[in-house]
Amino acid sequence: MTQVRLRPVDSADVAAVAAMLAHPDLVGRRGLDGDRDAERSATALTASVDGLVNPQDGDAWVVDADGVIGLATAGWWWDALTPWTHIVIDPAHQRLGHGSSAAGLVFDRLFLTTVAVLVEYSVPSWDADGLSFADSLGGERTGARRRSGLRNGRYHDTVGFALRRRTWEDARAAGR
Amino acid sequence: MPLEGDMIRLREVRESDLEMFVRLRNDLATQAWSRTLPPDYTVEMIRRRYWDRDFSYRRDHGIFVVELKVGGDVAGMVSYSDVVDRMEASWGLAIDERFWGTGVALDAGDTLLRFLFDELGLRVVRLYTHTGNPRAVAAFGKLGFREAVRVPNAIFKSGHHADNLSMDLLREEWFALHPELEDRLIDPFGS
Repeated sequence: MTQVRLRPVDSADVAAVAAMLAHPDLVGRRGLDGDRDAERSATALTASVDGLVNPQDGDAWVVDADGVIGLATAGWWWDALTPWTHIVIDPAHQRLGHGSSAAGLVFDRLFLTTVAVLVEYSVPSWDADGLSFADSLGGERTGARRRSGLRNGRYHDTVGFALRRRTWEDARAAGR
Repeated sequence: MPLEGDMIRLREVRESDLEMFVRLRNDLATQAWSRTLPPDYTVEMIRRRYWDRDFSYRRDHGIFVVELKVGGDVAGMVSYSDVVDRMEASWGLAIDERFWGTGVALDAGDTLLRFLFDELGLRVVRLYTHTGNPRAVAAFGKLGFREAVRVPNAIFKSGHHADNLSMDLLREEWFALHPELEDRLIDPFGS
């Protein structure tokens, strides 16, 4: 399997990342600040992605596997103890283990280079695949923000997860 | 028509309120934690925060002083922010300790909720707090808020860890607590 690595988002990546995020299958999954759950053009997404080149109170990485295959972001605006992360993989590169690899690299960075006691992430309740992926990362479910959006004529929730440092340490010690 | 409850009215911020805002902002027991530290905010800092707000028809927040209808004492403030039009907002409340246990907090909080549901037409209202402030959590429960997300040990305050809580209140839940009111908002998606 191609080696996945994270590298900081560079100006040269903005167009490719924005084009990836414009894929219709990623509506509601992009994880960008101020985003809408609607199809958006790569041009419309460029400003948001451009802001990831030098993020405040956080980091943003291209998920690279011989090219841009995803985007990983992390932030700690409110408290450095409890950063959050969000990972998006290009639909053309999903179901190959790249998301898990990228998530593992993000957790390693956050737990090895910051004071985080846990890392939060969240998934909309309609996204069954996303929920399965989130569960597989080892975090515990923390609840759900009710009625956090609309999709296909229905309100949906957003399910929260938190991976504790101890859980990450145990998994790392076990070689997982 | 003023925003009025049984005991209080909500009004705009005035110059004479700023000392109270400083006192509330710098209170380590309630408002001062995490990013809001250190508790050394000044009247001038608070003035710039509230006076720099421009006139706009695209505002995503509101701040109200809680004033007693009898006597005119100022008891605290309520606010909302992060509005998604006709969908949701975050709700906040800070009441001077002199008025704790008097019902003022519940009256003020519920008056703001009525504004959010009946005027802004929101479908859900959220708040963020922590288990280190059980008095506040209990009060929010009385207003109808339910625990939505609990992140264990995510807060560090006063030398201890506490759970971070997100609570939310759906529109129909609030109206169920107020049978004297009728919800006439057209909701194409139902409840």
